Amino acid sequence: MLRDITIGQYFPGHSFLHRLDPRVKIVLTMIYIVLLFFVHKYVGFAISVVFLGVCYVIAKIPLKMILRSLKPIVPILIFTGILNMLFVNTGEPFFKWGIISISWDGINMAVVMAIRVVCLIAASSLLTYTTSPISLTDAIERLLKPLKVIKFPVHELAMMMSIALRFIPTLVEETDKIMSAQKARGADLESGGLLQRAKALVPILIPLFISAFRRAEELALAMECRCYHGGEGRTRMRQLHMGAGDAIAACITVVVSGAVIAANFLPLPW
Amino acid sequence: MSEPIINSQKIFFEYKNEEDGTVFPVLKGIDLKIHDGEFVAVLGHNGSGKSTFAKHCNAILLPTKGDMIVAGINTKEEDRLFDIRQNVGMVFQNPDNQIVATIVEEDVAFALENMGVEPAEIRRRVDEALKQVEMYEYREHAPHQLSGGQKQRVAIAGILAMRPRCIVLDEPTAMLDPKGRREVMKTIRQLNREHGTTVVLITHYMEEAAVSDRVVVIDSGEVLRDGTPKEVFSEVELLKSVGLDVPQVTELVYELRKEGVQLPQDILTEEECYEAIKGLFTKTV
Repeated sequence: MLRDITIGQYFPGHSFLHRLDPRVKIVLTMIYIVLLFFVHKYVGFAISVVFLGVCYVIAKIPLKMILRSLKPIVPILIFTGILNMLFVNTGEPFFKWGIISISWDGINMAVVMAIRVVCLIAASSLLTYTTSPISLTDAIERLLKPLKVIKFPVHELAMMMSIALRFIPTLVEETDKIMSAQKARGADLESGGLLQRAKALVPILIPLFISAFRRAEELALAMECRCYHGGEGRTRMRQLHMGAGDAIAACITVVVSGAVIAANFLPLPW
Repeated sequence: MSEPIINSQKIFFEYKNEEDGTVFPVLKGIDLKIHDGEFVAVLGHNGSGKSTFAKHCNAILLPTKGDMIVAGINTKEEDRLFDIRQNVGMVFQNPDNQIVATIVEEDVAFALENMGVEPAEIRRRVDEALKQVEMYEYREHAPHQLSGGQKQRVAIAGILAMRPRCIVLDEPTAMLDPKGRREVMKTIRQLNREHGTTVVLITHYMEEAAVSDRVVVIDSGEVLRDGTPKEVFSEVELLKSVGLDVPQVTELVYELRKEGVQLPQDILTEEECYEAIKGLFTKTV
């Protein structure tokens, strides 16, 4: 069961989007998300949704994956939708019952927020679907590089992220082993109330922590043996190159953004 | 003869118990010279000090007394630490705890990235190192997709990429299954035979020591025997007295000789043994 966990939900492939420079992808995703909050007209939303849909088609990500990433936010959508409908009271009322009044503006607001949140999640999922965790870490390290000036530990942060990614499968496997070992010694992990189950985790977590510390020590030694001395004077084998594809992607995003913003000024009621 | 790559001059090492101040000596004057191109197996049972000695070879530990000269550099010279570690690479027991990166080739590149080598040169050396350990096809795999033996070979490649003159392996097969053990031993032998890398193999498997050129037996922090496998393994009783086994073949020959069978004592391989015993039968018939 623990084996199914995939971090970053990378969906391997060789599409145009997969091959884009991860730095470009991060920046473009951020532009798109900011853009979502500038849209006021439904024409604008239609353009943004279609644009994202086209991106998913290009990346060859199945519809099932999008729905799966949206599932956990459904309760949030319903909750914010209800709040918006109840508390936005401007405009003509559409429905009135005692103190509860729902206006057209409220419904409008609820729909707009729902579209925004769905697009936001779908866009950031697209980033993690098409970019492997290691390239994401790489790109973040390089994008944050200017922060080194203010003594922000960029390299250390990236190193920690990549070591964490490296050790997740190892520790998952280890947890499996410890669980079996404790079960063989008569540990009951599956019955009882919440408190009892939480207590049953202690004999699993303690050995796991001890072994994690031991691993950390050995890893540090092995890293020192390979001349690790922090980020100073370090080179990287993999160089990120921005190519024609990245320029095209950036241009398309800019054009779409322009269209979406222009739609705001159209003399249309929606 | 040229200057030895590892030259330990009567080194002592002791652990100090900080609480009650008692001193626990681990190495008691080890004097050992290892030359370029040698394949040395260091044998000893648990607690004999063999791993501690290995850690002196690339300045993880410094001797409390005596001098350790590695590639002409005294390990006490702190500012030349990275020179020492580039010359003498170290592979540890647990492959899982040595692999840093999430992709095989990235991990092999790790040491070179630390040394600040040019990206194109890193690429070349990484490919070369991966080919040497026969893991080139797996270069884009994640470490957790590999078997134990494969992971250990990746760890070896990570060291080889630095192009060290000598590689020290501290019980590299202890956590592997028999198949992984064979793979790793094959790789180590090839490195020594075909690429001329000096190999120091710390082990307690006699079969592994038997394929080396030179066996050093360490017991309670001292060098007990130093010679060719044939010389060392012929002293069955001595080895047994320090808690070591001899290879199965040697054991068989030893027992047969005790029963009065006319066999030479320096037999090491199964083939030699087979021929010798067959020879006996043809003689008597």
